[in-house]
Amino acid sequence: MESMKRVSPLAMSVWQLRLIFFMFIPAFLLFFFYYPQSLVWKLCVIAAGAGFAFVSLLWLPVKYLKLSYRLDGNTLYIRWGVVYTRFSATFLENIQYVSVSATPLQRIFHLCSVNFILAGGRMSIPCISAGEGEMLRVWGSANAGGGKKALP
Amino acid sequence: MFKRRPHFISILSNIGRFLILLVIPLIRGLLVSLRGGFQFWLASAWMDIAVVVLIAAMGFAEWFCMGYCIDGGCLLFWQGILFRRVRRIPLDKISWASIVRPWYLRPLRAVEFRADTPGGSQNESDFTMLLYKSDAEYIFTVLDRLLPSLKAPPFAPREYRPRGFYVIILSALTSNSLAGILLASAAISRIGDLMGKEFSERIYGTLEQLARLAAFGVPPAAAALAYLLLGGWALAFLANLLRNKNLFVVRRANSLFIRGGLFTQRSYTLDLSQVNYLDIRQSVSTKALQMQSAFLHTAGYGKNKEDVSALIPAAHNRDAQRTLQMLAPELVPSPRSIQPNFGAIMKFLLDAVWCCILVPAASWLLCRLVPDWEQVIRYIGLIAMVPALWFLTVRILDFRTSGLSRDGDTFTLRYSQFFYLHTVVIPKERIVEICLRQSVLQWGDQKCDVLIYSRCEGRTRHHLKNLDRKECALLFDLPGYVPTPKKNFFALLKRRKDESK
Repeated sequence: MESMKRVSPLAMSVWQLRLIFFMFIPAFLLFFFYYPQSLVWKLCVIAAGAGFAFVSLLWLPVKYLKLSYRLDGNTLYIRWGVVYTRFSATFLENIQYVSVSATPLQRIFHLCSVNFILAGGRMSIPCISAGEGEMLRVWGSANAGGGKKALP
Repeated sequence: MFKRRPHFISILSNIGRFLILLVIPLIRGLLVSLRGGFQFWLASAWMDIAVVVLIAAMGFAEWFCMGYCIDGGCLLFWQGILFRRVRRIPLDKISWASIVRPWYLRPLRAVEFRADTPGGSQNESDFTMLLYKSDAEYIFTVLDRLLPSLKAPPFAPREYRPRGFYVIILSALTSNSLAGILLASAAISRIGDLMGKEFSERIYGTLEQLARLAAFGVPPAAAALAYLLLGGWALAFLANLLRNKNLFVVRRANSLFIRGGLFTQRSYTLDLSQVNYLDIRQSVSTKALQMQSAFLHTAGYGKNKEDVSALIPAAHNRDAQRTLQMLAPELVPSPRSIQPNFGAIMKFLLDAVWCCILVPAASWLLCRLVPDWEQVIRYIGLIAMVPALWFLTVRILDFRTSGLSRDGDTFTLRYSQFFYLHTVVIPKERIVEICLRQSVLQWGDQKCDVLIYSRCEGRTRHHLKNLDRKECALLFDLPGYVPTPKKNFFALLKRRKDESK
């Protein structure tokens, strides 16, 4: 039995950069509305710092370590989650179509997200390499609805 | 190929879309009344008449440009005056069709015909039109004839007519106080629009006086609330009873024909190969009476609130099983093979226990904050404890009956959702996604929650709590998710010692 495959290590870089970018918004609002060194300002800075440290040093690494996937015969397995670990599986005949998307940040690192659209749901693999994403898309589309083709 | 237009009565329903144009005469009337008087308005009334005629003409034009036909195994229909829309639905993709005969359309021999496929909108049927009764029955016959031709062996039709008492039980179970209250308030408001605001205010005032008279020592506001809920439930019960009366089910080779309704008759035909799952529901009261209701889930069926959605309205457990064997032998539940362990009891009861604690706590706090309303708050708190204790009872029953099993390629899921216990029988090909979810607390003993997503237009989830992860992975043929044995250092040391000896 093959083991689960992890996503690209560059995913951590994408998530960390996204976190830093989003931290600019509360930082801007804080700077705009509150006087520096006031009590509220100090409390917000401490809370933002603690939140940033928690997400950056604990949440994201755990998310990366748990995120993995595998194609095994006619079954797609995806494992993900932080507090709740989810082991999702779908049979390939349930896949209606596959879409590949990439944000500007993902494109810089040559990464993409693959979305498997099911009849009544969807499953996603974020931040895998662009080449692998395209391969998954071609293979998923060929196998959608029960057609069988080997992975190139 | 026959081409038809819809029934001419649909001109009235088309007009509804253009009533927004009435804002022109309304604004004009307002401006005129500010400037001149009645004479001035009358002199220019031609504009109002022109707008009304325009609305009627557009309704007629919409009807004239609408039509449908059956063309080479497809249902083709078109509509639109300026923006033409043509839709082609293959007949073999239609999973469900219905004919609804409201009592007010029967003299005109008009029916509402609806058909749906697994794709398209979650909230509306793919094809809805007011047709002549003969045309709708012709399409129905074509659909019905098409389904048994799908390589089905000879099959003797089986009929089922539930007893009136069972229909009453179903109506009582599916009645909702809120739905009844909304129905009543909409009706009273409508009467007020037609007969003047004073009339609707008089009705509300009379209800208030009745509540005061019948309070029986209870605060009048609380009594009014209780009677409102009771009255709402009674109205909803009556509406459900009229909808489910004369329920009649026929099983043919590959299809089910269902008919019901007293004043508004509804007929449905379902393609059995498109059925997603069978849902057997029990509440606490029906569980105590050893009764159950069965509902079929398929794309389109039961989408409209007025639809008849029950396969078996309510029956004794033994009778229900026998009827299911007759109507849907492919979807009979199997006995439990995987069930939660005793240690999982708090996972089932925690939500309900919180409700039972928070309701009296909130009442106590509100009594302290607003002492003038203490009597009303105490009464409402007492009333609110009833659903909280009911919920706790449901969760206790869920813990005793929850589980998973498999019979060939059909899975039986037993779980609870809000105030109902569900037994869902679902074929493997209708399962879209299986998710085994583990929290941090479940890692130790390798238990998990099982989330099953079934095939439908939206997203339907079935949630089973705290089952063994290995057993679930093997049941669903997911060897990739069977947990590896834990690497126990002391067991490894002992094994190495034994090997060296």
